[in-house]
Amino acid sequence: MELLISFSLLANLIVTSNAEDRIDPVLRLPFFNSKTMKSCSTKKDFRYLSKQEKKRISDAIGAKEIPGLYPVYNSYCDKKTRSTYLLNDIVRSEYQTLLISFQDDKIVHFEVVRFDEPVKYKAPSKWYKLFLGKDKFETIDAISGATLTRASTLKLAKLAHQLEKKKNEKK
Amino acid sequence: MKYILSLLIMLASTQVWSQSVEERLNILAEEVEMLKNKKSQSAVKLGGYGEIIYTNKRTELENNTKASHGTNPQADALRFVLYVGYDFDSKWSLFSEIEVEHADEIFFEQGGIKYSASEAFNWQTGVLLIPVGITNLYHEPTTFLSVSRTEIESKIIPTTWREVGTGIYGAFGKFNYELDLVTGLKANSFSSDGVRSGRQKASQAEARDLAWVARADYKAMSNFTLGISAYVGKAGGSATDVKHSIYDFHLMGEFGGVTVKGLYVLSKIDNTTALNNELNKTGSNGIGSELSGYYMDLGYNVLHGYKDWKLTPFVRYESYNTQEKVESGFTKDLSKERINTVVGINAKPTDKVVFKADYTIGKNKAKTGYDTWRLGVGWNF
Repeated sequence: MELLISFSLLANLIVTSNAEDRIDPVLRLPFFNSKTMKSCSTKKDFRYLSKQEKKRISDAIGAKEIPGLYPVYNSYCDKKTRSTYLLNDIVRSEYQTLLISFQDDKIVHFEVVRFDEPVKYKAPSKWYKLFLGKDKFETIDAISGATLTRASTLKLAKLAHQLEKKKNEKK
Repeated sequence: MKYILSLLIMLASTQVWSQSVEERLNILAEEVEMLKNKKSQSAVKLGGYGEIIYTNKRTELENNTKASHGTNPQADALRFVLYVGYDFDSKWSLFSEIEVEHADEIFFEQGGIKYSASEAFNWQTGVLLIPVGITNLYHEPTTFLSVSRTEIESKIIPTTWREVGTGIYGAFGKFNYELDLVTGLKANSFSSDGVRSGRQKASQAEARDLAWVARADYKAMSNFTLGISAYVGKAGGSATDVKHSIYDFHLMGEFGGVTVKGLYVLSKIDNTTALNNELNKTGSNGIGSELSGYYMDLGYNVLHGYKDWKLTPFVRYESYNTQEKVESGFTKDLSKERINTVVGINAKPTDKVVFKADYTIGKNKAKTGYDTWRLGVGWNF
């Protein structure tokens, strides 16, 4: 019997220690370790979209079809909550990954985490700041010589916005 | 005691086995996300572009005489290009574009190895696109308004211009730069109509004569870029090598629904007397010692702010001369001093598909110009 108890406790220990050891690489990004975010406690969660929600959001962002599952990082900072999304899209032939963070339904951080297209297609960093505080993106300036970068970035911003809206609908 | 033991066992085992539905769902979600990420991090990249055009040249010339233009009208699967890339790791990668031109000619349009040290510094070697002008770097049909590329960026800047070479490139704040050392053009294929036939296209290229090419683009605003480039080197003839240089100033802007593009180019070829003599070119048939020209595109997306579609009527004014100057002993062919006015419409149901129609009023100093209308469909991905 003692042996059985020991096994159970050992298994329990393994489960717990595995969970602690598995640090999400996303949380190692500079954004999550910045001054603003350092005091926050961040937990990964997922947004699940139903068929109808997928259809509605696809239509809203002008995409043919979108996946139904998105990770979201919820950060609890003092009395404020932030939701942060990491979203991928193909610009022309290669991917870009954006980190988009919301607080009080507004974009408070917008960052290109990865950009695999040639650097000439990347927008100047100032351009990405145009997304801060916005919930409509159509009027955001064009980027000369990088139309596809703008289109992809706008699509991801709209998607993040829709996912954030869904969170609020849940409330 | 039994009770306590059973309780302990139950407690421990529930911790292990009684994952809630939510926990299981999250594990599944993690797995699905991992699979999705694997897809986006695939080492193999695929892309491409293509364009099919219809061209109808008018047979009436400016001076009211008639001319024939060979196969006319003409439908041409002008370009079908497949891009394949491969990331060896986070720094080293392969890039390549294989082009099928006119449905039956195959070219290696660009390709080689890149090393990405940082955004500011990257190195590449292989068959490189020469970073001069606008169209040679931005040549996908979805990036320019008209059905055909400008004539300046065909005869003076010979797009799609690629040569074997090596170079560095990157971005510093608002500046993008590129500096390459490449094989030069073949001077013995130059003509009074420009340098287009001098491209070696990396095919058993004569590598005795090399050229430096430098480019800097300044993003004054995200939607407005000013840039310059300089190509300085030698072009090899059979017996006569000549110095060949091209300098250009270009701008690209998008303001609201307005698209603006402009370019000025000046090109110099020295020792053209010897080159013309070697090639038995005499009189007005000689290669010009100076070539120059400019164009300006202006378009407005009439659906801007209303629809995702883009419907852009546009106008282009293009003026150039492939014999701006000729060396003494040669005369100018007035038909080389040309002005093209293009009016047309460019429709994009999405940013990666385009339908185009335009009409070119072609004039030249010899009054032998003619008009052309064109239709086109293009895509890139």
